[in-house]
Amino acid sequence: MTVSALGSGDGLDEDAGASESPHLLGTWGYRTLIGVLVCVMVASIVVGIGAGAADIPVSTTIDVLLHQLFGIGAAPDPVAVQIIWELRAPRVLMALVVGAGLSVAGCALQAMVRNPLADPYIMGTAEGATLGAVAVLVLGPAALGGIGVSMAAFIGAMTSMLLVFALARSRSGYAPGRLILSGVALGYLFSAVTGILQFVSDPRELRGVLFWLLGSVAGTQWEDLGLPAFVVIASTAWLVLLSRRLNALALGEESAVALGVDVQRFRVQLMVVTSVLVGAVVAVSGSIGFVGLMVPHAARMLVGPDHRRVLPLSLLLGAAFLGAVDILARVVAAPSELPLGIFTAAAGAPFFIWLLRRSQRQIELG
Amino acid sequence: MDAPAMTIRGDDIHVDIDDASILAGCSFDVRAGEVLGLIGPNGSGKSTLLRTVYRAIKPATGALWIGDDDVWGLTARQSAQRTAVVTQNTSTDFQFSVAEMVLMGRGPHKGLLDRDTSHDRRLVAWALRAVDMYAFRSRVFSTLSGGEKQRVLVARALAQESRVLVLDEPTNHLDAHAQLDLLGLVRSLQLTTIVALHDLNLAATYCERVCLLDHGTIVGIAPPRALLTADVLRDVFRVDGEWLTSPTTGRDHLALTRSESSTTIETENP
Repeated sequence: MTVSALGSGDGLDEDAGASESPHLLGTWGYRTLIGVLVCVMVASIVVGIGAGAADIPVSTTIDVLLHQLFGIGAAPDPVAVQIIWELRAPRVLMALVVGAGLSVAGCALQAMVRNPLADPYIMGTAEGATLGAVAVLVLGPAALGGIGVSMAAFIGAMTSMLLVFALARSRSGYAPGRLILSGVALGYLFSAVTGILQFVSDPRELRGVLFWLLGSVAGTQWEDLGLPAFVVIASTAWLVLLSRRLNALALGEESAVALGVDVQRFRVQLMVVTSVLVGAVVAVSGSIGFVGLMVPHAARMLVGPDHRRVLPLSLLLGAAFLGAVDILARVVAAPSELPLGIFTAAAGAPFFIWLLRRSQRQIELG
Repeated sequence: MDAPAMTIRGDDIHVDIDDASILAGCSFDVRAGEVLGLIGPNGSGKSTLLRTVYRAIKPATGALWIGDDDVWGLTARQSAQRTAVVTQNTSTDFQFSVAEMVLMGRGPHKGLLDRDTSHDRRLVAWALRAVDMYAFRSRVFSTLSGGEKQRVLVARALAQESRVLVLDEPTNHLDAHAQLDLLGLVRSLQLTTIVALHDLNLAATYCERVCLLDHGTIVGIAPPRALLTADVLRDVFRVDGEWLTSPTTGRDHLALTRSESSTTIETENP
């Protein structure tokens, strides 16, 4: 039984296709899906820009985009440019960025707490970020030492995560069930404080805060897009590089140690990255729940739990999903538009209940 | 794996958890290629001692050597290249396939940018064949029986190409056949192995020497029959025991009865 005795042809099949893998999609299925999703995303950008109060034909949208991006074609109608390039393009892209960010954060949290029921909202991370952001919106930056909305959201997210882990700590480590319950409890607490802030806020500000709280990317400017887009792409890249460690951590602390992961250090890194990610996304979009729960789950159902595939797939699925939700939000009650959080909650709550019932026997409350 | 087996040496190891002394000065050694059984009552510190070997707990004082390396002079990754672990109950809500589980054993040998190579895949296939689980490679790990899971984890340890193997009560929740099967497999690997066992007869059958822990100190390290005398069994395990030799196999077996002098009732897993 030595390695040198290995034959050359007796390995596992290179392509773990349907017959070789318990997962729905093998290597080629995964690659095809990624290609299809990229196409869907490009299409949803064009359709998304076309949708809204002012009806704009797809051909005009494409003309404006080609002219603005590559200088191709004649100068289009300035009103169309204004609507398409200044008003709609940034918000459509922001919806994609937010959807991708929440989904990737969900993946990281689920591996971290070893529980497929985790998500930035269920874990209290997003509520912490929301509290930070609302505090700046209502009290003004001056009251909080001059920090901006994004910074306050990050601090809120990080505080929440540290508290969740501190509360769930026991002698035998962190039980997944306790982490979730601590997160839920803290989430409520942060929401309550956010509620108090709304109560004391100026009625003129309140409407804006409320709309923001329900989740919206309306009014996004080009300059708002840079930071969240960078954070989402950079943190996804970092997580993909460390996805072997995420896989090991998903098996439990003891297994991760046995597989050579410096668990203490890795967990701290994950907390910081996830908090930055959630903070950056929540600061620009408000509360959009369940995306971070549903999307990673759908990704795992398709390609299995290996984070090397789940993370890129979640990024694209999340972007496509929230892009579609953003189109719906503008079309359903046109000319007015609905908050995104309403749609994700309407789809997410039944999904969560289904998931809960399906995995009931597996959840240990430790 | 063709490299010579490594020794394990513990040097006066002290571990305290929450001000309670769990290990109080343990010194031991595991010879190259030996299967050392770690026995002792519940709470005697078996798991803690094993955790110091695979670098999960840093001793307050004392050192743990794998070959010529101080374990705490190594990184977590370097330690995992030398030592593989089969933990008690690995359960997960994540639906990894058997092949994916075994492939994780390659992790300690991978840099951030390294991809899985055909060598990795061949190693996984070889390891699964070695534990007779190749036919299960596309099953979901969490749907396997306890014995099957443990075999897969041994395969993962093989794919890890480590020279030291640590097993923490690997036979828990296994039926009789699976218990003998697993320990027979572990012995056949000829790795330097330290295995915590509850069942004294299993330890006696599969280990040349056993290390007996009681209240965080090592009572002795010796061949089972020499170490587990009637006095030791009564003092440490609160049972009366008698060694019998099977007339058919010639093997030694330990017949245990509840000690007359012991009055407290101890349940295994409250």
